[in-house]
Amino acid sequence: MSARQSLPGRGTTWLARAGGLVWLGICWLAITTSGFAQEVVRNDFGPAKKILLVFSESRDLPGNAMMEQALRAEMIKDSTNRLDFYVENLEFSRFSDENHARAFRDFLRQKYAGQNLDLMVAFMGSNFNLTNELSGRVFAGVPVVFVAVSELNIPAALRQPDWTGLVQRFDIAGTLSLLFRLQPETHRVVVVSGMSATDRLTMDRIKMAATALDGIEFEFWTNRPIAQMGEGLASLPKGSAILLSTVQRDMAGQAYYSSQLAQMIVPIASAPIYVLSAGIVGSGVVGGAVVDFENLGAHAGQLAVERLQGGTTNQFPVEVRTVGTPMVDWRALQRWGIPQSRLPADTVIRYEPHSFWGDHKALILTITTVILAQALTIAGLLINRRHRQQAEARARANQEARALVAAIVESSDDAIIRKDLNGNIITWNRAAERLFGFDAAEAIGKPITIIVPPSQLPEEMDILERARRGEPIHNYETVRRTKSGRDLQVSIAISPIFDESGKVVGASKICRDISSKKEAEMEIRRQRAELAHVARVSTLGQLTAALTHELNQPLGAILRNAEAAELFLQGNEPDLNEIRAILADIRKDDQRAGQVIERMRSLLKRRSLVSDPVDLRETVQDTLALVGPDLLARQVKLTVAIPDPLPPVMGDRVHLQQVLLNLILNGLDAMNQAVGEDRTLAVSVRLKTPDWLEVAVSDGGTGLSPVEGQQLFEPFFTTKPNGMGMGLAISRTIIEAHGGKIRAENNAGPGATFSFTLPVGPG
Amino acid sequence: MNAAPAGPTPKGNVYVVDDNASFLLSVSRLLRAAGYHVRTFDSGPEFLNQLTPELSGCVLADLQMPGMNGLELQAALQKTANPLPVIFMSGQGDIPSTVRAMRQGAEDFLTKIAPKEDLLAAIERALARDTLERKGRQRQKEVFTLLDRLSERELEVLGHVVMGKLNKQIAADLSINERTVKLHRTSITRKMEVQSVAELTRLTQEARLFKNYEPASDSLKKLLKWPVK
Repeated sequence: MSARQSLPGRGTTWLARAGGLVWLGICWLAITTSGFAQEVVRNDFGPAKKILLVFSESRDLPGNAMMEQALRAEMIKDSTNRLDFYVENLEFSRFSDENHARAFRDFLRQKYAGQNLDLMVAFMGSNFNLTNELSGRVFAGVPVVFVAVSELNIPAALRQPDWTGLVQRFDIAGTLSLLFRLQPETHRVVVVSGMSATDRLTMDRIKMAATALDGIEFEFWTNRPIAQMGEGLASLPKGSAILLSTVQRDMAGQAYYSSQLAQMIVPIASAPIYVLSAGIVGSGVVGGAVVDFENLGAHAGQLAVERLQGGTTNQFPVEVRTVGTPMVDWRALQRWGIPQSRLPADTVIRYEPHSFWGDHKALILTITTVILAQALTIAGLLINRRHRQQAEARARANQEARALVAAIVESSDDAIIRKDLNGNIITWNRAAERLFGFDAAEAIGKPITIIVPPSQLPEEMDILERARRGEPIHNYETVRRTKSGRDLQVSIAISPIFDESGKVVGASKICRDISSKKEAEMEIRRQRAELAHVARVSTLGQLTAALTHELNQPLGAILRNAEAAELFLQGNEPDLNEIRAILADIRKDDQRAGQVIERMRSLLKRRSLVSDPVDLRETVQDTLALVGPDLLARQVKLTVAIPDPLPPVMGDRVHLQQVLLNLILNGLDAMNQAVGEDRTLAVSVRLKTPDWLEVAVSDGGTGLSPVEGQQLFEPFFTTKPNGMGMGLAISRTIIEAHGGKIRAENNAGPGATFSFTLPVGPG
Repeated sequence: MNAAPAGPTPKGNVYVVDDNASFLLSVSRLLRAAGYHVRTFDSGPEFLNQLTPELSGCVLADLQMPGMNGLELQAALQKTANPLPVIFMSGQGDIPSTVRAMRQGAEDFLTKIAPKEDLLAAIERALARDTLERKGRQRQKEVFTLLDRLSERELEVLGHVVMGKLNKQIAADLSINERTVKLHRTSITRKMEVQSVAELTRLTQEARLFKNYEPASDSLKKLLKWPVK
């Protein structure tokens, strides 16, 4: 570690004393050269020592690789001899049959015969499975240093005179305690474990540790293949954590290495994963009180060096370690939002992004202090200057703001008038001059009532009263009068004006001419009424043939009766009773004809929407009387269902009749091709809720296509060759003006139903 | 046509069919006053139910009626043994239905507000036609009653006789004895109640003109020049 003395951290103490920016450059130099200072000096004196490293599994496994590297580094560092390393892997898990083991043994024996190995380092794996392979059978007399990570009892065969080693146990208690320290909210731990003998052993130890933890739910997932755990792991509820035990072999017999397995489950797991081995930290798991392979390798390296230097067995008993190194993956902490403050002090944090602050804390602090001191002085001077400038700017801005307000007021298109609490005009802008005809000189000092028509005086009094109370008034529509006596439709807004003590001293009034807007509204209303009228005329046009028939019926009867009466009167003794009966019938038919004409006339009359109580039964019956002849001519059956009693609705009878007429005629048109029972028109009224009536017209015709359904109520949408496309659009306007809704839907059977709702009127 | 006061001798039967009660009453008043015997029905089926082959006269029917309309009533009437002439009335002058009605042999087509004179003239025409057709149907019945008396062989012989063939030719054509032909001719003139070959020929020609009578036997069909299967 002597090389580390030139690290900048040490150098900064005197640097801090010296202070000043000049030294920054020197610091940088120190930082950049520190890498070279770590060069290891190797001692290549003395005869070479031959060391065979034997792995029970692949040396590429992360744990093995770490151990090997640490071991080599440690040995090279402290050895006085040149070291030759030979490496062999048995790979028990992959090639587990006895033949392979025997072949390996023979292979080693032949390969290293006559090599005079100085030391063998055995990386035993979890089940000490190199013990038998190497103990005395292969290289008798070669000392052995072994390392094992295992839960098994230490085999007696290991206790040989020139053997020494380390056995590391999983720190299950330590890992669980780290888990609950990092995530105290955890109440459920899912233990993923394998099915091999070793796996079961580890699991049994976890089960034992679990019994000591009250209130935590443990689940042991061993009875399903790892490949099928995905879904379960992906849907773990909040408060869960996963403890990845050893999985050498799963339910399906698939062999795994723990690091592989971790890479498989990390991306899908919905809970943080804790592990027992440092080899897996880095694949996305949080960490654990793990088996620290580097530490283990380094320690084994020391043992090996001591052994090479001639230590004896008695000095080196088998050492058993049960405590792991708390180790976490910084990225996983971020992912699961685990605060770093929960970590135990000695925790190894891996994969933390390299931070300049962490490396050069003292240097940064010093430089910052110096800069701050200078900055404070400069800032003091600047602030002083700024205060002066701001005061000047405020005064200027104040002036500008006043000028701006004045300009806005003068150029506004809305009349802006200020009055005092007695209603006397104080200011009067140009728009006010234009709007009301008084110029400023005339208006100022006069009471505001010069622009208020007599009828609105009480209202103005009320406005003043509210202004005195400090209440604003928004967009109030009323009438004001010009100098020439013309009345204007205006929208006014009043804001009270307060003095500095918060007392109301007057009010400003913004007054906008809305005459043209009002006219436009009236025009729209008029056009709508006109359009509705046109539509009614056109609807009646469709009915003309039928109405002629309806009218000719009583007219024909009148004619025949009159003709008959003439004939009777030509007779010698006219039967006066007969004549009287005839006259009574003529009167009756005349009334009938009158009713038909009246029904037409009321529909043809130009009118705006009125709101009266309307008896829907009567309206429906009147409408049906209009279309009755049409129904007959088209051979359509009619059914009518109206409950009795029926509350009245508020609305316009003629307009509602127009809607009904539209819907009925549409229904009849839709049934042009229908036959039999389908040629039925059903008109019904029902009380949908206590507050709403629904009128429905249902036909057995062609129904609506989805496209029609959407556009049906749009203006100019029509499916009829001669249609104008206004009927349903106007119907909707009328119904919505009544506060109701109109809709159309296809029947379960043939045809469609159009229905509208109307609010039940009072009484 | 002059209006006549109601008198004891009705000019003919008029059957008025209309669903509109007030019009039905008014038109029946007028027709009674004009001297007709009037019966009113408020629907087509109602009228057809009461129709018997002997009833003469004409029908005055509304074109637009619920259920069976005027045209349907006429079509049904045509299929009975008593196809009375029909006059249609309509609240409106509807061209397509008028055309159809005329094509089916409607006597007339009137609007309900047509002048009385038009209505009564149409009724007169219809009644005249009924009388004529009724006579024709009577005559047809008589002719066929005579023809039905003849045997198969006699019908065959008659066919040859009306073609102006001599007995010898007939005997050769039918491969029978000339004497036998003579016997058949005597029997034919006796059964047909005629005196001369000219009369026989006229009767046969007349029978051939009746189009709506389908002869029962093949021999008769042959004689009347109906197609034989």
